[in-house]
Amino acid sequence: MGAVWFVLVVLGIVLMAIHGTPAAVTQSLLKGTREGLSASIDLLAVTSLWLGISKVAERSGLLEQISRRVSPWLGWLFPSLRPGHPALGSMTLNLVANILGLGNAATPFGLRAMEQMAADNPNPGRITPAMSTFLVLNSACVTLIPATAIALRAAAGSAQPGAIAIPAAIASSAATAAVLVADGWWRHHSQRQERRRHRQP
Amino acid sequence: MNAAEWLLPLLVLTVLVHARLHRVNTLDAFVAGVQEALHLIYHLAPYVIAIFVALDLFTASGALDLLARFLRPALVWLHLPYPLLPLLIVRPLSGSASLGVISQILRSYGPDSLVGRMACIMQGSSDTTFYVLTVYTGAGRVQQAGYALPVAILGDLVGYAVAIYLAYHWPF
Repeated sequence: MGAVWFVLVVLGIVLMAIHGTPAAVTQSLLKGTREGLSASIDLLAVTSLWLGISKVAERSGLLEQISRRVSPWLGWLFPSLRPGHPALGSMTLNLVANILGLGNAATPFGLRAMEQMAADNPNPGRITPAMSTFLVLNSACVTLIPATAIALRAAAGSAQPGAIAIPAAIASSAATAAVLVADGWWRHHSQRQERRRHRQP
Repeated sequence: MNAAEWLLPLLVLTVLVHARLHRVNTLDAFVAGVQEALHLIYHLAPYVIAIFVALDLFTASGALDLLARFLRPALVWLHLPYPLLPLLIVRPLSGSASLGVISQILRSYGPDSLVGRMACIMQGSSDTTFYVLTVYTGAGRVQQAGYALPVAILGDLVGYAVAIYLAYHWPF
């Protein structure tokens, strides 16, 4: 990330010096800072609302209630985790928060789930199949209600802020299906390779 | 799509009424959540500003045009409008930066334009893949993501392709 930032800034300054004037560089630097600050404030508004509401749902036990209903499904997605594994609870909260579009609320639960899986990792330091499945699920977002995008649209004065909800849910489902199939295939493939390696002493 | 617009108000209403019925002090809980948000943004804002500085230089200097000229065949093949290129570049790296790029897009093109809708669908259906992989593997005390990395990238590509297709063909 640091290297990317350095290259972007240096490339920008050099190109701008060739095409334009040094004053334009200064102007652009200040404009970027100002825009970053105002974007942070927009972001603060959106996160405050959703972390506030999700905290209410957490304290009332609503999040956990939903979690208990989703738990049986998870055993099927994570066959290598024994039933009742502590990570399953955190994963449920993480996935529910993701489904509701509360990405920021999802992250703490996701980190907790990874820690709980690391606790009984047979090869510490090496990623387990369950961790891989959980990682790719999180990277694919699995969102049914893109709350942040809808809130941003409403803030920008959209006539139909919620109009993108269904297409976004379809795109997210397609990505989720793709990662689950690819993850399942890769897991199967790597386990077969592992067995073959064990057979050859 | 009035039904979809009711989702969020109903969700908030349900959460609040449910909490009240369970004798939760909703104000205290909400305030605690907002405090977490303030903490989070306090740590995130410097990154957002840094990324905006780089992105503004990158676009204003014409570097983005150079990159776009280089990527044009791919953009045309994907039917991806040109203003969405920065979003595609920053989305996997930083959630807050991509939100910033989207607010910029919504400000210049309007939230109900093709570009505005496409940006929101892409944002709503993807996640910060590289960020998630880095932070989560760290929490799992794992050195490398292994095959999760190519699988996650594949998922992003599938999601973007469907998002672009739907932005063109969905009956809004």
